[in-house]
Amino acid sequence: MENFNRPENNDNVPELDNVGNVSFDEVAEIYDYEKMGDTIEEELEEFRGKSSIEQREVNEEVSNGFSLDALDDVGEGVNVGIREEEGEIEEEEPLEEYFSSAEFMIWLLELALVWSTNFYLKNQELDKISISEFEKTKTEQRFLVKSLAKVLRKHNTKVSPEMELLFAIGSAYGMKIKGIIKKQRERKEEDLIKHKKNSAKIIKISPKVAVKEKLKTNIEEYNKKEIFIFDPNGIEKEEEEEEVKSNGINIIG
Amino acid sequence: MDARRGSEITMICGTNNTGKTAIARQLVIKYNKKRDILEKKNKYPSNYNKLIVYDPQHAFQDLMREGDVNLDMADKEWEEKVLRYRASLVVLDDYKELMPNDRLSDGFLKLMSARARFGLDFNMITWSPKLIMPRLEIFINKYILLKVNSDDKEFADRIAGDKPTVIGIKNSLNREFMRYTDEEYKKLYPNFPFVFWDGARNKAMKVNFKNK
Repeated sequence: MENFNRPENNDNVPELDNVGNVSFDEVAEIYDYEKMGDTIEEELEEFRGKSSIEQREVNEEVSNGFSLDALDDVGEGVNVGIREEEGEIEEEEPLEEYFSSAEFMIWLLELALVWSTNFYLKNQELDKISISEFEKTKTEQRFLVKSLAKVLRKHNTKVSPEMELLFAIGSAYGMKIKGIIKKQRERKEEDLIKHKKNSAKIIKISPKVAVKEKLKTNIEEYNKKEIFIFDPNGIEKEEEEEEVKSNGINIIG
Repeated sequence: MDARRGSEITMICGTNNTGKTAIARQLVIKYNKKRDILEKKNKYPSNYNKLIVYDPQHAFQDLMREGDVNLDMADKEWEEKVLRYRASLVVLDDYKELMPNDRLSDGFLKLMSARARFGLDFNMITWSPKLIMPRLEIFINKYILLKVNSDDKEFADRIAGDKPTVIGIKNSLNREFMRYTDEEYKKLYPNFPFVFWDGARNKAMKVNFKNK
């Protein structure tokens, strides 16, 4: 058995005294390759056989990582392009592509939904439900009805009288929702104005002055520190002053 | 038979401040000259003849050219990145930082199996034979050895080739190193003493040894 624990600088320690000393260049020569592997040589031959424009295209592809990202499987990725050229890989037909697409799956799901909804609603006494009753139902139920109505309308389904009623309810309720949203928005704007009014300096001016000074009184002004508001009292006062002036002129004239 | 690019994995091994990176730099300088000659002779695609480095010390940046690649430790798929290149030299300074696990990653094994076909040569740098991963040993056939602190068993276990000769190399290196003081050794830059060892052929070459 070999003893690996020899002490250093011992006379028995083997050394490389018989090995010659060489220059660095001699070692570097070992790495001085002219030839490449066969795969590389083939690739290079193919590349050099191309026109300069094609060579540039190859380089662009390489730098964009386009051809390189196909290297998921070493070797396979490189050959995909070649096999495509040879026609080994058949392109999927458009119809097959459509059936395997997500769009088709969604359509199928919606169709199933329509059918099951029709089936379910036929077993309900929907004709007895009025809009006011519908409004009293739970939020989730109302949301469901609206969503279903949307899907059904999208597919122009020939619907039963029950479904017609459902549409009517959905659209009526939808309009109401719109009204609520509008009111909420108005209320928000009012609050904003109120807040700005409290925090900013308000200068009351008449419309004439506003036109003369080219001042705006719209919502953009609320972002500034000063707000100009039309003052109806100011208008009345101005009108009175004008009347007095015109009367005065008449007297003088 | 002509030597071909794409099968060489050279492990540069030596303790701190013995000149591992300086030697790797010299090899890169030679490589740069070589690729200049090749590119003058012929046209190559833009992923050919590149220098790909993992360079935490920024020791190779001045030797890099347009299109050369810096590998990042944070890039978990650096092997895939390397596989994009052909006929190129990959220098991994302190390679263990890129492979923190004791097991070779699938990506790296893929790289090893494709290296000959894609013409990728590797110069890996490490400071101890202990850090040469067990499965990586089988791929390495050439070593550039500098002064190391390992014991004989460790050294002989991790460096391929005839064991007594390998231990002889280690002792020669250590004896040569001890001939110099720290200052004297630094003055040797970039011609530090090392042994080129071809483990497959049991062939050793002393370089820059004072003791001829």
